[in-house]
Amino acid sequence: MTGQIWKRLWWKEFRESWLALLLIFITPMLLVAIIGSYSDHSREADFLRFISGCGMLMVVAMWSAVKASREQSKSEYTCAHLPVNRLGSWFITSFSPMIAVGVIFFCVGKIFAGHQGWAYYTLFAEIMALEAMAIFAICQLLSRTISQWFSIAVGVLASLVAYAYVLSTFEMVNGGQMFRFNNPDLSQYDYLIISVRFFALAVIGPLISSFILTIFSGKKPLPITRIALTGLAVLIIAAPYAKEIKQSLLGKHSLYKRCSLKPIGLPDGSLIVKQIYTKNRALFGSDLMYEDQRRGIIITRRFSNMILPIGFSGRDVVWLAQQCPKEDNVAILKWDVANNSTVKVLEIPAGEDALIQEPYLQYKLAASISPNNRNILIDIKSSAGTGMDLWLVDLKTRESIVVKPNREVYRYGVEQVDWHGGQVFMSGYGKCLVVDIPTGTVKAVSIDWANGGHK
Amino acid sequence: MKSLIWKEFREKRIWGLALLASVVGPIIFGKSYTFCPSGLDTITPWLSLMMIVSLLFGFSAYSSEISGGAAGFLYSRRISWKKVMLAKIIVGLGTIVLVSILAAVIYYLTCPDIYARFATLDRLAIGIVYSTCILGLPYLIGAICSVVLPGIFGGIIVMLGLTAGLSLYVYLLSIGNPPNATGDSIPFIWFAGPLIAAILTARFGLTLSTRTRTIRYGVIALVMSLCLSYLSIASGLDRKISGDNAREICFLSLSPDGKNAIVQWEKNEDYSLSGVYLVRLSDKSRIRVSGNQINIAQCYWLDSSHCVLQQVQTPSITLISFDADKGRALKISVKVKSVKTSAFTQAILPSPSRRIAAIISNFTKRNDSFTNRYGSDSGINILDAKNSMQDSGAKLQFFDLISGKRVHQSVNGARDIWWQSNTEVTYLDKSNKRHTINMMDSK
Repeated sequence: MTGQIWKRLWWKEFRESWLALLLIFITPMLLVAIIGSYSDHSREADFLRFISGCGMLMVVAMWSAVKASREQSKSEYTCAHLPVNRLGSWFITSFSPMIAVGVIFFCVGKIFAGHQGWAYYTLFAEIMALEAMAIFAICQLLSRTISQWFSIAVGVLASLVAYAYVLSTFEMVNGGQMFRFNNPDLSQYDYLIISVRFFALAVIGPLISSFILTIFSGKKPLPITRIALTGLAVLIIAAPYAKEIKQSLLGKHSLYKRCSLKPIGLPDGSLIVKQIYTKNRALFGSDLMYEDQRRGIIITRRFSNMILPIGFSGRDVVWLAQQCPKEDNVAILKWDVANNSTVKVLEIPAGEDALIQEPYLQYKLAASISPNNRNILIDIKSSAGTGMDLWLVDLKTRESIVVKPNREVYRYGVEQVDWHGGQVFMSGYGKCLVVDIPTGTVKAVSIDWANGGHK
Repeated sequence: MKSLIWKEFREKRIWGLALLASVVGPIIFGKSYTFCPSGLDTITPWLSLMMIVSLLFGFSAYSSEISGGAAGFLYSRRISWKKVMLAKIIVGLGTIVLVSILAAVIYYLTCPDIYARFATLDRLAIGIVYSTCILGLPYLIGAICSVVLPGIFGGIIVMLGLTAGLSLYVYLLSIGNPPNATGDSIPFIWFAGPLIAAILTARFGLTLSTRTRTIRYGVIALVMSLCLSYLSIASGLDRKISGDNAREICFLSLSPDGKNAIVQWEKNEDYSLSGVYLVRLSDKSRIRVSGNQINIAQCYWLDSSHCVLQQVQTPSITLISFDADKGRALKISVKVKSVKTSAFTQAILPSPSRRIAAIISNFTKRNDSFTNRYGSDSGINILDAKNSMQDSGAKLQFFDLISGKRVHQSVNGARDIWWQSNTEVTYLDKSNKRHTINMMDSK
């Protein structure tokens, strides 16, 4: 391709695209000016923000899908009758507009986020630019491999998701509470970097597929090729998150791995074991602090895997449950505070994330030791379901059995575990249950006032 | 009839395979316990997948006849419409039952050792019933929606229309009524209309044009749904049962002798919290010890006939003492003075003997819900005192929990507090200086 042809192609592309580019640049700029006249939380401002954010992403999606479909339909004619090669044509008709969209969204995003006074507004602008580029690239690819209308449908849906994502990230970074990423170990900056990485992958994946499609097939590609290349794009985007996706399908969420532990202690306030945060601890580990106020003893110990304090035997022994390093078992540990040593008493078969706690789903794991220090009742994440297995551990015989498999756990009133004789009553951890220790059976506690119960 | 069943089987066998694949998925991916009753506590993404496949299976019930133009041919034969419907039901539900049985067998064969004792024959049988219901209901809904428009997408459109109609109807019913006044049975009654319409369409309308069939189905479904729901509301079938009927116990604290318990539950009528009751477990007799809708922050027993109750966001502590044998309750309320800024936030720190308690007020609740409460019998809700008390320090007041009388003058500015013995309490002041108070000293 000569320079003349390049110029002509650029000029053609410019003439075909200027209106769409102008629309996605001018509309949000005008709306930003109008939004200023409304209060931040008014419906009008929300609506205008939606139009300037989500609406423009939808325009990008539709423009991209239609454009790709048009290019695809005339590609055979172009390559056969004009002195252009496929890569050159792809670069100008697919890659360049995507970059232009990215630049426009970066500028608009920076002006908008800066105008709103958001923290990290340059990073926000980058995220918005990458979102727009990702939607452009995805729609281009889908339009070429599947169909124009499918591409538009996916693009519109992706625009809604991307807009919701930016809004919730804004909420989180600017002081609001956000459900998904409440992870005490990550800073607000980390969240934004994670977003940048994700959207960059969402640009690169479809772009590579689209590039390969252009290299290998100027004509209408075979269905198998199209499916393979769509799959490749999905793979590139999703591969770094394979573990999270798998865990999500299995109902597990690794993002909660580093949640805070509940402290345990005596009701008179003289003894407490709690988690403390230190920067250089292991990724899924915990530092526990034992604090005996009465005797003035403070001991800190580091645990490299997920840990759950269970209870005390006297004042010198703390019982703990810990995920084993290979994530195949949960060990019951005896922490002798007097010499700061731990002994593994027994292991309970369990899968990964067995001691996971999700405070923002408002539940806690039940973990309690009997007053005679003989039995432990503990919730461990079910390896065959999304609920919790309630285990009864006999510390004397070192045996353990599941007494209630895969039970739903949710916070429901104040947590209470009462050991009485051969029974344990537990409430506040989902359904109120009574565990019969000798038989290892569980019954739901219910009081039917109509039949038996009376005032 | 045999030919009809054979025809249905040949048409729907691919759906049977899809259903089997969706059911085997949970087993392969470790959700096998879904097929035993208690496993139904948790809804997994895989369970949703099964239900979606079952719904799509239902959509295919009649829509394939309509879209393929087979209905005209079928009804030109000497075949009763009842037999056609029966064949569809037999094949549809038969497939679902068969898949459920297969899933139970696969579960039994692959059941992990730790759950083996739960995989008994009766539990598996109940699991099959549950599984059949879980898959059968979406199938039925799908089949109801399949008699109008051709193809699976036609079924989806009909279902969306019915759901939108239901939403609108529930919204109209809710105008001017309290929340939950419409009742739980309304959706079922609403879908009874389309069920009748579907049967009538299957009888009379399959050979009509799509437009006529749609209009007739829509009119019948709407009229029947409105009539049935009106009748159910008018006859009081949907009326909620009033009173403190228990739906689910949400709090239970057992007395040390195991004879009585402090109990609170979610009410049947509107899922609100009941009052707190003292319940004698031997005969379930109960005595109310608080009003409705209180949220318990702390509850612990001093002995078998004295109990202390602290409500969330309330500047008072309820002391419950009663005759353990007769089960009569006596309430003594103690009003606690609090600093205005945190008048409704306080906690009880009992002495080791539990007779005396320090009432802490003016401490900050942290966002971390794990550390903002403490003091229950099980020792689970422990106040992380150093992190929770404000810079200005907390206010401490000391009470005898049986008599409700103040036993020592109050103290301000405490940063941390614990009981050194049954009568001595120690606290750190703002400058981390230790102070010990003996309750035996004068007020």
